[in-house]
Amino acid sequence: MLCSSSLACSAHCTSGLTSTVWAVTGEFTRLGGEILQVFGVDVSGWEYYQMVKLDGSTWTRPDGWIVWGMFIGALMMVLLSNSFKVRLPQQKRRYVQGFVGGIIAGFGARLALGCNLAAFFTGVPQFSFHSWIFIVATGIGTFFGAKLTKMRWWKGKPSLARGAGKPSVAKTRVIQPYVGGAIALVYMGFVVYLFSTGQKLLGLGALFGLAFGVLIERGQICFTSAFRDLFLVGRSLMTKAIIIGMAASSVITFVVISVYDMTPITQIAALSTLVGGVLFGLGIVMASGCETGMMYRLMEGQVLFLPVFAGNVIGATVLAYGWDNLGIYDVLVQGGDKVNLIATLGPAGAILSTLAMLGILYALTVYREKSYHRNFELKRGIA
Amino acid sequence: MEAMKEADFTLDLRGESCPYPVIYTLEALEGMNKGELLQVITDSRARSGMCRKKPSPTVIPLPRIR
Repeated sequence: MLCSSSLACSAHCTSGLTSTVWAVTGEFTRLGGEILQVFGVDVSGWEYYQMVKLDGSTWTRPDGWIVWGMFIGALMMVLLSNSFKVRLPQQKRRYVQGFVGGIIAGFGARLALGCNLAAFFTGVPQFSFHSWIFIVATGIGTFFGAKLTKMRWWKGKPSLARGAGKPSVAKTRVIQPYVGGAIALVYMGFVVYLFSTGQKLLGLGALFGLAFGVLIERGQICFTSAFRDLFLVGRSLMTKAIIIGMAASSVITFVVISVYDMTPITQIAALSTLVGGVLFGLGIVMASGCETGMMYRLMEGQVLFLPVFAGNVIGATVLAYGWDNLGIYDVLVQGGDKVNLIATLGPAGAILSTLAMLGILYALTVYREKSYHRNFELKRGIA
Repeated sequence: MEAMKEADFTLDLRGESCPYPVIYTLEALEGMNKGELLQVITDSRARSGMCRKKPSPTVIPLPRIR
């Protein structure tokens, strides 16, 4: 809970200080563009890259350093808690599932102009109506994802053995925390270097990225499980934490917007938001992690998330190509409009309706949790 | 103590990511009889409502809930 709230608050500071928002998929798209450029593909004419401003390299963009900082922050935490371990899934099909799910999630997130980070922790608190559509759509997508996950051919068969098994022997040598400490020192030195050479925005990006990485690993913030586990196993802690985080963030943003008379960041709400959200929801469950969850899991040594990462970048890049070249913009986006609740409902209406929406989400979460456990009891009773 | 009892079944889920350890465990439990003990070996950092939080690698003996 605490992690999710501090997450929301620091997400807020980022947008205030670096004039960029806490988002990772935009950078994934640029990364894909950069890779294409290395292979000699000219992407400068692609409209999407003009929109997300592909200039410089990932090392010279604050957004780039948010992403790399997140990886490093997560890795640091993993090492400091001595819990890095290379984990290879027993079910080989997971790699394919992760790759395909990663592509779908990457594509969907960019179609909706941002994944859960941009929608939940920036969109909702900035009263951008597109985030409401995105939340509902993601819920629908994850619902079908959860159904898919339970299918026999998808989940595979575990190795259930008779009798007691032998666990792995616990390691007694402790070196990971030292490596983690060393990484922390080097990284902080690098941040100081960025600031001292006048690269303030890069420094801030690197610093906030690091903080986000620490928080998501520490709090095991998993948007995928927030949705999926409600449907799958009636577990709701993460869902509640994220809803409370959004509520806290909305109130803070509301105050800041009114005091400083800022214009809230608003994204287009269109059919693309709905389609993108559903694809995103489906994709993250297939891949077992969203673009954020993937990052810290990869740093924990879960090899499955390498193909997920690759898939995310590929999916985002395919969307960037299709935006104008395949007519995605004309069909799904053009008819949309930027809708901000402050403009349509007034400041009081915006904050009240947002809190009401979050309240309803919370109530639905509690209802779903209760009904799952009731059904579970029932099933057990009959058996 | 019940946890000292020899497990009747073992589910080795090392390497599997969330949510499969939970799905597999619930399924295995459904196929078992009252009083039987399931041992789950996992190195996943998945926070599960059923399992106690422990650093990897972990053995969590789960008594049959029924």
